[in-house]
This record gives sequence, C-alpha cells and structure tokens, in this order.
Amino acid sequence: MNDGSGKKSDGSPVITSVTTADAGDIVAMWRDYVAYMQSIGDPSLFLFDEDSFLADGFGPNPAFEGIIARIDGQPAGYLLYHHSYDIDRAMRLLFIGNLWVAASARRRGVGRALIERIREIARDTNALHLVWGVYSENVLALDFYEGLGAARTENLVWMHMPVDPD
Amino acid sequence: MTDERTQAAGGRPPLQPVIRPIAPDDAADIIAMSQEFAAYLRSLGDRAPLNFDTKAFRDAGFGPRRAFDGVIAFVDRKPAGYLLFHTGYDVDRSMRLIFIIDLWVRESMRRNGVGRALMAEAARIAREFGAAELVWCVFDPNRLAFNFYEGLGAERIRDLTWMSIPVEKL
Repeated sequence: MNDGSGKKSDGSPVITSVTTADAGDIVAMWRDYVAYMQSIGDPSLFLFDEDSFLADGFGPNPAFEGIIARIDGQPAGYLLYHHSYDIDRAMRLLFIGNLWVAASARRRGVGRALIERIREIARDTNALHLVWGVYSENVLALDFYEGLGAARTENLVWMHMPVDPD
Repeated sequence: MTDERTQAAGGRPPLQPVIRPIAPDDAADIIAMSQEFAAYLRSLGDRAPLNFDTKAFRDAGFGPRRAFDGVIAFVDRKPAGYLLFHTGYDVDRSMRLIFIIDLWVRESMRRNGVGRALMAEAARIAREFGAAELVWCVFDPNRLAFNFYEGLGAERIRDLTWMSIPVEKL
C-alpha cells in the first residue's frame, strides 16, 4: 500500500523527486558507489558531498535534478540527471549523471523503477533520448544498460577543458 | 593580434570579432551557418540525421523551457560563427559544467580569432555559472576540430564509454 510517504510496506520501490532532506541518504549511497568504482580501478577524484548536493541541486540556479528510490522507507537507490540537447538531431535529451542501486536493495526492481520514472520525466519534458557515460571497466553497468536496449555511442570523442587552467 | 595570424590571412590584418547572446531573430543566420556545418560533417562521412532548423532553434532555444543558450559572432558586421551550450554537472567531481553542443566558424571568416573568441566567451559564461570545465564531443574524423581544441589545451576523455537509448525503447 502506498500511503504517500514513500513507505509502501510490500517491499517494492517507491520513487520520489529528491529534496534537500535527502542530502544525507544520497551522499551515503554515493559513497558506496565510490567504493565500488574504486574497487574496479577508477582513479577519479570523488568530491561530491552534502554541501555540493544542496548547493548545486537546489536554489535559483540548480545544475542537476534527481529522484530517489526507497523500499519500506529505506534508501534503495537514486538517479541524478540534467537536461540536454542534440543539435544535429534537433532533439531534447536527458543526461544521466549518476545512477546507483544500494547493494542491499539489488534484485528488487529498483534500477528498473528508476528508469521507468526517468522515462516519464523524459515524456513530460519532450526528451527523446537518454544519454550517459559509463566508466569503461564497469561491466556490471554496461550489462545492465545493454540489457535495457541501450547502445554504445560510436564515432564521437568527448573532450573537456578547464575554464581556468592552473 | 599576432604576426602568425596576419600572415595566415594573406597579409590582411585580422578583424576583431564581436560576440553577443543569440536572439530569436538570429534564426536564419544561425541555421544558414549550421547548414554549412552539416555539409562539412557530411563531407567527413557523418551520416547522422541533421534536422536542426529555424523552428527547432526558436522552440528549443528560447522561452520558459529553453534547452540551450548561445552566442553569435560577427566580423565586419557579418555573421561569422556561433556557439550553443547548456549547463550540466559532474557528480563525481562535484563540478558544475558547461556543455558546448555546437560550435562553428564560417570558412570565409576563419583566421580572425572567431573560434578562440567564442571559446573565451563560453569560459566567461561558465565562470558566471560557477562551472569549472567546458565539455563537448567531436565527430571522430573531424581532425580540424581536434587540432583547434587541442591547440586551446583541451583533452580527450578516454576512460568513459558513452551510451544512449531512445525513450520509446524503454
């Protein structure tokens, strides 16, 4: 039964938009994701924390939005995204920045439920594709996404550059 | 203004580009330039659909649900190039980003510093948004673009596999 508080008691995931009150739960889950990424060799700097969740996800000029999954009221996963656009195809996109399902909540449809909600958000905002990047060693993620029917983007090279070089 | 640039332009001194934010009335100029860009990509073998038109520019570039923003460059008061962008975020590095989604300088307007001036403007906009990096993607055979961006100090992102899925397939 869904009583509207995100506390269904039948063990299935409940998805809601993130609020400032989710900072602790999101960052705790993100730290588990970081431990996993580091275990498969990702050398990145991992700097996200509650302050950045609050400063960059909310307020007058947010840089991302997000949804959180709970099972029996307990945090089970999350997905952070921002809006994007493909000029060539003249198409709105959603860019998924981070998706994680808590280890304790695997095999309970959390990933699917997050994807289902992001699909609804895409429809509401006229976005026709979802796009994201996967750390190439993350076979678990590549398998999950390919299982959904996602394709690897060939023949595009991503580049980046600091705004203020050291 | 460097000697190198003056020489590259056949002795003609470079003209200073003027850059301002895009407006709905720029639709025809932007799309004319975008079609030159599309023809160039086609010549490199890009077979992606190239559907951007004045309606898409006006619908997605303005209004309450704008999907991108942009700047247009003029040289000698003539449209010389443009850069379209939107904001984004790198969760891991806890970093605001500016995504450059299109950048083109007209062939007839090259060697006036238009590309560099557009990138400098993107950097200024990024600072205003609190972004620490610019990110974008390049069609693999587009060597001209790699040379330009690497000349600015940009690097290729090597350890990420990019994926996508049409929403209708989910």
